[in-house]
Amino acid sequence: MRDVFKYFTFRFLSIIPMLLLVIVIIFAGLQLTPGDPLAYMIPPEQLGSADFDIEAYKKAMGLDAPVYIQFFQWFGDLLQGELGFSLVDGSAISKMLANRLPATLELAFAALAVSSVLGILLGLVSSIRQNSAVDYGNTALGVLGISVPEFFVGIIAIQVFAITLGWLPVSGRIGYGDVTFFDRIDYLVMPALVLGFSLTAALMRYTRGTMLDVLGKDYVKTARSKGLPEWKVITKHAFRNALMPVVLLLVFRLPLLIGGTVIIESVFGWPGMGGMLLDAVSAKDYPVVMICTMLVAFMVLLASFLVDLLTALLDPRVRFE
Amino acid sequence: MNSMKKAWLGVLCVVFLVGLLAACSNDNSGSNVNSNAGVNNNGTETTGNEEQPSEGASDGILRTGQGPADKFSAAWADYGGLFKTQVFRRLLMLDEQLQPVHYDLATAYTMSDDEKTYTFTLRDDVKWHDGEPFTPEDVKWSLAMAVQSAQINAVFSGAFGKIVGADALKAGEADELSGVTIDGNTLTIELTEPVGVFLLTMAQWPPYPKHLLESEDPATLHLASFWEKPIGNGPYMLTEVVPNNYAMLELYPDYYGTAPKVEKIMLQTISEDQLVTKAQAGELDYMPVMDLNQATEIVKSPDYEANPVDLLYVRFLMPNLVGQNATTDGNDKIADLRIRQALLHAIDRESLAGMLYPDQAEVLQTLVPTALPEYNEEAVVYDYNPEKAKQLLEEAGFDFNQTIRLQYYYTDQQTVDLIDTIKFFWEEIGVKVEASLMQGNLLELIYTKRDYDFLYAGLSAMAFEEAYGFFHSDGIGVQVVGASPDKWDPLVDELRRTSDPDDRMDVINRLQAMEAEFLTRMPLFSMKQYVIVNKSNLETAGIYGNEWTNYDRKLEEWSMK
Repeated sequence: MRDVFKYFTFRFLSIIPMLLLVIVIIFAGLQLTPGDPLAYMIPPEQLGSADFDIEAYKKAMGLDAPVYIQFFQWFGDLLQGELGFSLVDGSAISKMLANRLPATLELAFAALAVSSVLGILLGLVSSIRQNSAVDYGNTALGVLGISVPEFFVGIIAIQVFAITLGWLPVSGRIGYGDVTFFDRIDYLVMPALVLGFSLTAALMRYTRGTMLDVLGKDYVKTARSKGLPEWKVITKHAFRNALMPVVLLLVFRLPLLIGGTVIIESVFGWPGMGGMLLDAVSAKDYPVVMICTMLVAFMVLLASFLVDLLTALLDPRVRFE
Repeated sequence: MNSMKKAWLGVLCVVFLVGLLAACSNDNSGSNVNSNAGVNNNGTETTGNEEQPSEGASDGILRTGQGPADKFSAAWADYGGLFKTQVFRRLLMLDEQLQPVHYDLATAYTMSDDEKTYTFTLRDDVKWHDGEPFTPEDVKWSLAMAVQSAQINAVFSGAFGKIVGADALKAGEADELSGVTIDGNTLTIELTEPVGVFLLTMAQWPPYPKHLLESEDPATLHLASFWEKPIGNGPYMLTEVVPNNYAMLELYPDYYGTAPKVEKIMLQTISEDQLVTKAQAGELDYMPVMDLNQATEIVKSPDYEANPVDLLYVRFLMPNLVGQNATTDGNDKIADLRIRQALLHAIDRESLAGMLYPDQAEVLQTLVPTALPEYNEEAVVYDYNPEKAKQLLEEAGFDFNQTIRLQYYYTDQQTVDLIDTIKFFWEEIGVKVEASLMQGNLLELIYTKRDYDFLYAGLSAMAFEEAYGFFHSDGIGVQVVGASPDKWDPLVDELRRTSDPDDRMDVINRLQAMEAEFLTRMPLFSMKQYVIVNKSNLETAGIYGNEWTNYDRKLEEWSMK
């Protein structure tokens, strides 16, 4: 027990230096990119104003300080628990995250749930019924899911389900009067299914491949030769062993979904982290970019930690010593 | 070890499920920061969810765009649109042509003979949406903040900069504007010199509530948390704000004027590219649209009608007469006026307008659209004449081996086609052209780097002072077109201080004549805006103006069907 705790604690603490390194690299990278937040604060047509004092504005926003001072000022505040404010509209970043993160998590978990259930189930069926019509159908679905861009599927879905049939809203996350999660689930259905569609395809192909690999192993043949029923062979001996790489793939999907759903967010007007991060990068809104990136980096490192954890727990060959 | 692993797995599963439940639980984002609860004028709490009508056309809610991001934008830089004109009111009100003056927060005004002193009598029955009374002190404080504000429209800042004491306040030598005095409900504003657009400014610029914002720094006033759920004094008050989703406007029961019939307005947070699909799904009732293609697509539905609006929105080619390196004596490539004249003669603007912007664009001869009464018909007209263009280039000794660099910053397909065609026209007369998209910090690229000979640009101006102020030596335009104080400054200064309509017309005519003669901007098109209305849901008063200004829409006559 003590070894387990020690192992997990060490793995968790090793995240901190990596996180610091990521922050420094990203800050340096941002300094090298072209652009100025002022360009996004002032409409181009307004730039001709004789009375607009650019230097005074930069000073008020703290943009006139040397780069390293800007970095340390921000980092000092962060250590005191202050996430800072957006340079573009002055919003508290904690509030921005409070507004956006739930939307992102909601979409990410919904898409993960859809893709996990469908992907694993269809992959399982395909592997059991290898080279059957079902397998070919699923393969075709998989190819479609991987090759057709998300935005295209999204546009088609909007055209059919929102405009033609009128079953679902075109865009947004919450409607007037929506109080509970179930009130607004109609807003979630399309983006979650579209995002889940491409994930399902990849997961299905992966599950199929792993299952076929496991089904050819000696211990599965042994189980069959012992006269175990086929369902038991598949569920207890094959699927259980094939599940680990699939679960690891799923865990690594999570950080990608936190900041990587920009296209789906754009198509469905979903107010998530992806759009926020994109806007912040375009506007060189350092504090927002840094916090978002830190969050995504933290999610990646956390996923890596979870993978280690799951591997250690699921794989009998791993020893904590 | 096996049982311990199972225990750890169990813990992990529980953590995951708790996370899942937390994410999917009702956070109703606005409810914490910008709750559904509002406060009416009596100070009693109201809840935004007392009525929960379902989505649809018959729920009596007017649906439009302009919803909040993480907060609303302040109202002194972008000051128009349904939200900012119905939540915040101005001292005066104009009609859709921005002409005759009506009263709003003021009940009367007088102007001294020398046009340097304005006296406004303010209503005494106006309340902010939190129940506090609106007073002349709000206006005086707002004027002082506006003088020091970093984010404010150029016409506002130009006009307020002429208030007596503005310079001292800006320099930190005074605590308030000495030129603004209060006597009971009367507010007097003294100017150092006449400002022709002062009444227009007072009809566009909204005062803010002093009691809610007086602790803010003027430089960052527009970033205050106040803008998460602003408190105004108009017929509608914000009752519910869900950041990045929507906000609800509901009738303010203590509004001093005639109460509108439409009880609720839903401001949805949508991007421009979602306008068409939102409209096709019937989720929009009223919206301004700048893109004719979008308008055309929307009105394919018989429920919608598009109402064109003429406004001062122009596109032009801006010559970089200073050159890329400011230490040299200007841009030799296009310094000769005949070269600019030739390049404008070489463009068939009529065909371009017809092909690329049918029914949306008019050819522009000066910065004043030809449809406006201020247009000077005597100004030089540059018709399509490639032969004359070649002749002018020859006369100017134009070096045909050099390349003219043409840049643009609009990214729509029509602009790309337009630039390709202009390039074609110029190449037809033997001029080599290199066209490219300007990307990045436009402020730096346009005015400091200046890596172009011509820039395709646009201007949406509230007043001619904004359009022609660009050429004044106190404007940023000198960094591109160079300073010529003898030519432009006297005329622009005259325009700034003239309020008599006939005198203004005369000055604007002379400005156009000079502009056409020297081609410091090469005019291309004036563009229309469209106001799209869902006729099956909404009945308006049929009055449509520039949506980005404050004008009398007669909203009290609007009704939902």
